[in-house]
Order: sequence, then C-alpha cells, then structure tokens
Amino acid sequence: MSDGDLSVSADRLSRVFGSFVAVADASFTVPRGGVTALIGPNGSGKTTLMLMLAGLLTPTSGSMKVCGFDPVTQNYQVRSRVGWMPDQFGMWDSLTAREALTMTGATYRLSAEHRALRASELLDLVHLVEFADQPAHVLSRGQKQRLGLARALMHSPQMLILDEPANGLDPRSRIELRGIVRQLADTGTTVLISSHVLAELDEMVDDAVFLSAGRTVARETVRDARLSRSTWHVRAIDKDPLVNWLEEIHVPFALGADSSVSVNISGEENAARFLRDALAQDISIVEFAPRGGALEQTYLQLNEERR
Amino acid sequence: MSTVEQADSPETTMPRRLTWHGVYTVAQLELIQRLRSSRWKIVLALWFVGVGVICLLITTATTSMTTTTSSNIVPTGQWIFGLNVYFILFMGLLVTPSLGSTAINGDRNGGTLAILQASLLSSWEIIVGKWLAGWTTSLAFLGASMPYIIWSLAAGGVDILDVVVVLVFMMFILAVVCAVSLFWSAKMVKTATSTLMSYFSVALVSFISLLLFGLGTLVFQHTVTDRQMTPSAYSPTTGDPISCEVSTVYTQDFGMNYLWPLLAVNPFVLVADSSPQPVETLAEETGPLAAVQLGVRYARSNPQDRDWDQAWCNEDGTVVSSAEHSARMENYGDIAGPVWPYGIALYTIFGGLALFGAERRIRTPIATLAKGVRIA
Ligand SMILES: Nc1ncnc2c1ncn2[C@@H]1O[C@H](COP(=O)(O)OP(=O)(O)OP(=O)(O)O)[C@@H](O)[C@H]1O
Ligand SMILES: [Mg+2]
Repeated sequence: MSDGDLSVSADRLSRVFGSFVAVADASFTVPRGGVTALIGPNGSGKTTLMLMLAGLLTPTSGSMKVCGFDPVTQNYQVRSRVGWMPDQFGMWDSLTAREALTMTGATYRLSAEHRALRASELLDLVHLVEFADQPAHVLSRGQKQRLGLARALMHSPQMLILDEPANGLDPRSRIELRGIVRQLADTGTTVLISSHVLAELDEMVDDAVFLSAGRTVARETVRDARLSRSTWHVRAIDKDPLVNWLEEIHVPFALGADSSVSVNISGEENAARFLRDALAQDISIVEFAPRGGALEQTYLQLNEERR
Repeated sequence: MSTVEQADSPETTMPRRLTWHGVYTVAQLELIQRLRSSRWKIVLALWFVGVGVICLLITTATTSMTTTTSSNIVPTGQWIFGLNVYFILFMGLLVTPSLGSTAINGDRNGGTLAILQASLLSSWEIIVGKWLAGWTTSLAFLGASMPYIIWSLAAGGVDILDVVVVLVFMMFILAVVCAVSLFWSAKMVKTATSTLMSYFSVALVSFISLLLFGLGTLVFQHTVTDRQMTPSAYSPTTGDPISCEVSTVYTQDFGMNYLWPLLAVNPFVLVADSSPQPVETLAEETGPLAAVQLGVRYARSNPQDRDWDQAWCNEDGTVVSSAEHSARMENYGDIAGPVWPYGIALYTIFGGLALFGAERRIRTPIATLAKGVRIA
C-alpha cells in the first residue's frame, strides 16, 4: 500500500509517563476510508495512542503520519483534518446542544452560516433535534455521547478518532452509531474506533489492531478473523448420537451445560464440511454457529498468550 | 503526497498564532457559561449593595469627623474618595482571584479543556481568551462600584484626572491578578490548590509585603555615627544657638532605601502613588491616598532623622538665621520620585510571565505531563 492510501502509519511509537511505559513499540497502519478498530484490555494504551494520533501528546519515540502529516511538527494540519471524540469528555453544561455545536464550529474557524447549517445537519444525524435548545446538563448520558459525536464531526474531518463511543448507549443508539460510522466510512472518512464490546465491532469494522500492554500484538481483517474462527457451537435435539459420532471420528469437543457441544474446527471450509457430514449421519442438528464474535476469539487467544 | 503538502504549507505557521476570532471564541464561551449561572448575578447584586453600604458609612463617618474635629475647611471629598477606592480595591482583590483560579484545571477536570486543545484554537488563544473573560468579569465588579466613586466626587476636592488614573491603575492591577490566577489554575491539578495559591499571591503583595517592610526596617535598623556641626553656645535672651562646633552625632538608619521595592509591589501603594500630583504640593494634600503617596516616596529617599539642633548650623560652623532654620525644619528633605513605574514594570513582568507559564502548560502536543494530569 502506498502512503497515499493510508490515513495513519505509525512506526514504533512509544510513550512513557514518568517511568511507566504506556505505549511501547506500536506499529500499525490504518487504510484510508475504512473502519479500523483498536482493541485491547483496560490500560493497554488505547487512549494514549489516540491522543498521540490526535496531536495532543508527543510520542516519546517513534514516528507517525496522520492524514499525511506529522502530528508533532505539523500539528495544525493534523488537527484540522482529524475529529476526536475522547473517552471521558465534558460538555459545556449551560450551553444548549445547538450552541455547543456552533461554538465548536467557531473553535474550528468555520464561518457563522456554515456553523449554523452544519449544527442543524448534525443534530439531525444524531437524533437530537428535539433537544437542540436544551442545556447540555439535562441531557442523558447517551444523549451527551451522541452530542459528543456530533461535536467531533463539526468540521467534517477526514479522519475520525472515536474512543469508546458506544459507552452508555442503549442498543438502539448503538445500532444507529454503527450506521453513522459505516455511512461516514462509505463516504470516504477514515474511522479509528476503540471499544470493549467486540460483538458490536464485528459488524462495523473492516480491520482491527490489537494492543496489549502498549504493544501492537496482532492485526487482523475481520474477514480473516471470520475465516479462522475455530470454536463452533453445535446442538442437536438428542445429544447422544452427536457425542457418539464425535468420539467415533476423533474430533475433540467440550460438553456444554445446555446439552450442546463446542467443537474445535479451524476454518469455515472445514466447518461447512463438518456440518454436511453430521447431517449425513442423520444427527438432528438445530444449532450450528461460531462461538463468540470474530474479533472476540482473536482477542481471547491474545490474552491467553500474554498470560 | 508532495502536492498536498505544497498546497498546505502556509498553514505550518498557524498553530502559534493569536487571532481575535480565537480569543473572542474562548472568551465568549467562558462568559456565556458564567452569565448563565444565576449565582453570579446574586454575587454581583450583593456586591453592589455591600459596597454601597460601606461607602455610605465611610462617607457619613468622614463627613461627621471632619465637621466636628476641625474648624478649618478640610476637603472631605479626598477622604471619601480615598477610603472608597481602598475599600473597592480591597474587595476587588478579594473577588478577582476566584474568577480565574479554576479556569484551566476546572475545565480539565470537567473534560472540556481537551476539546479546545484538539480544536484549531492555539494555546495562546485559549489562554488570552480565558484571561480576558476573567478580567471582564472583574471589571464588571469594578463597574458596579463606579456610582460610589462618582458620588465621592460630589463632595469636592478631587481632581477628575485623579479618578481616571486611579481607575486605570485598578483595572491594570485586576488584570495582573487575573493572569496570576490563571497561571495557578494551569499549574495546579486541584482547583482548591490553585484557588489557595491565587489568594496567597494576592496576600503576598498586599499584606505580607507590608509586614516584610516593617520587619525589614527593624532588621536593617542601625545607628550611624557621624561627626557634624551642632550648636555649642546659646543666646541667653532668645535661647537660640549662637555658635556651632564639631561633635559626634548618632542617627538611625532604617535601610528604607533598600526596602522600598516591597512597598512598590503593594497594590494599595501603587494606586495611591498613581495620583499625578506635582511633588511640591504633595505635603499639602490631605486624604489617605496622598498620605500613602507621600509616605512611600519619603521612605524611598530614606531620610535620616534631622535633628532640631543640626538645622541651626552650616557646614563651616556658622549659625543660620531663625527664619532659615524654620524653613529647614519644614523641608522634608529630598522626596524621591514616584515608585509606581517600578510597580507597573514589576506587575507587567509578573503578568507576562504568568500568561507565558500558563500557555506553556496547555501547549499541544504535550511532551511532559505533570504528575497526575490526564489529557482525557
Ligand atoms: N497522564 C498519565 N500519567 C501517568 N500514567 C498514565 C497517564 N495516562 C495514562 N497512563 C497509564 O497508561 C496506561 C494506558 O492508559 P490508557 O488510558 O491509554 O489505557 P486504555 O487502553 O485507554 O484503557 P481503557 O480501556 O481503560 O480506557 C494506563 O496504565 C495508565 O495508568
Ligand atoms: Mg481509554
């Protein structure tokens, strides 16, 4: 991939707080115009990494390019192209939702008409039109979260950095968030998103960067992750024929509580073959699905490796 | 890629810049939030009433004092004006530190500072905007006390120019206090600590400086031994000296010529010294401001106590006439020039350093974070 197709290229980035290494040797790229997830356990350095990409924190060592610019030396260019929604952000409590957006527009040096127009557009996008003239302190947590997203979009950034945007959102808002993110990505915005809810990422991201103890430990496209899923959940109406058959063909399995079994099968090709064979044996299978999301398995494997 | 960079290269110079738009945006954001809190209006109303009551008391007290104690006409206006100004300055110094002392760390704790830092506002715009917002608020308090200052004008004896100069000085002092408070709010993680430090800074220049000056004179105090002409024989009829001879005299030196800068940093001294009075007429002025002004300039010239005796003798041992003696006794000696230029210079340096230090604290991207600070 050439540089022009990358929104972020980070090379051996590290960040130290005092003597604590928060990010160590993180190297990864984010392709332009897709949704990339940043996944890692608590304290793995996701927020720190995003702060560096947004041009707020200098890396202790390493180099990066965001939208073609170096956040350290070309800070202004990066900030004008990147929209950032922090993990725990505040709202100007006494300002109304609309004012919060127009003020943000002013901080991005947008013209007054453009600000007003864009604010209405975004209030509509995040379904806050009826709260437009309510002060921010009456908004619920989820509404504030959506307003925060709108705020990050105010200057129509080329790249959006979302730090756990789904925090505190109800299922419906999560689905809508997913829709907004996909829509932005489809119109050419690059999105880097961190979240702990992996199942949700499965359905919206193209690509994932895994972070553990400040290191980038794996990167995976969701398609690859799907292909390499290894644990499958199988349930038959009567479990005995299934268990007998599995023992016969020497496939390792684990018995679940609800008379289901978990089988290790590597790859979707093999899974399809497995199901065909089972049906051919007249085993009445009623459930057959990969266990856990695509990303979840990779994530759990990583943690096992780390321990 | 190179074409993109070419097109954008003028932007490279932009991050440090200071634009009116940016400053205005930050100040507007601060002021809107402040105006919307009803608490603020209550404080201003209380201020108006409270200052009014005290000024009224000052006015009546001075008027009754001057009419009962002295028969000759003393311009009460100067007393009313001076005491009112001091009270308003005192109250201003009491309110102003709280206006800026949580501007940065309060926002940081509330999670809104990082939003501004990530936007296209430069760190200078954020700092200057917040400083202007704090200053504007403190000026609102000053404005609310204007009626009482104008009222003291009615009593007469106060030059309108004096009023204008004193007001300008008070505005300047409040601006510096705002800058210093802002510095503490950028420097300290906790809002309680920064507020404490802001009040401490004000106390340092307002009261501790006086205390240090007082203690300093005691420490510096020493007796100077000198050989001078003193009267040796007196006329039996008038009792005045008729001849002089050399003798050893002992005078006290308080070292005030070294200690006066402690007075020059005092806001109350600064305001008093600002009055554009000609030096010759200073001694004739009455009123608290003139007294302080005279006092500080006198201190700066560090007078040795002029003995009644020495005023009779010339260097060559001859005795001066009785008229010349009276003239000498009335002369306060050489009064030093104004101290306010030094005060203003020091305050400008304090304020400038404070703003500069505050800006450094929020400049992005941040290389070294203070302990316990998280950007987001
Ligand atoms: N300003 C700071 N000073 C000292 N340590 C810090 C600072 N910021 C972050 N850290 C440390 O760096 C590590 C990574 O923090 P970071 O906030 O990036 O984690 P995270 O991956 O975002 O975690 P979470 O999933 O909980 O949000 C943590 O151990 C944290 O304690
Ligand atoms: Mg985080």
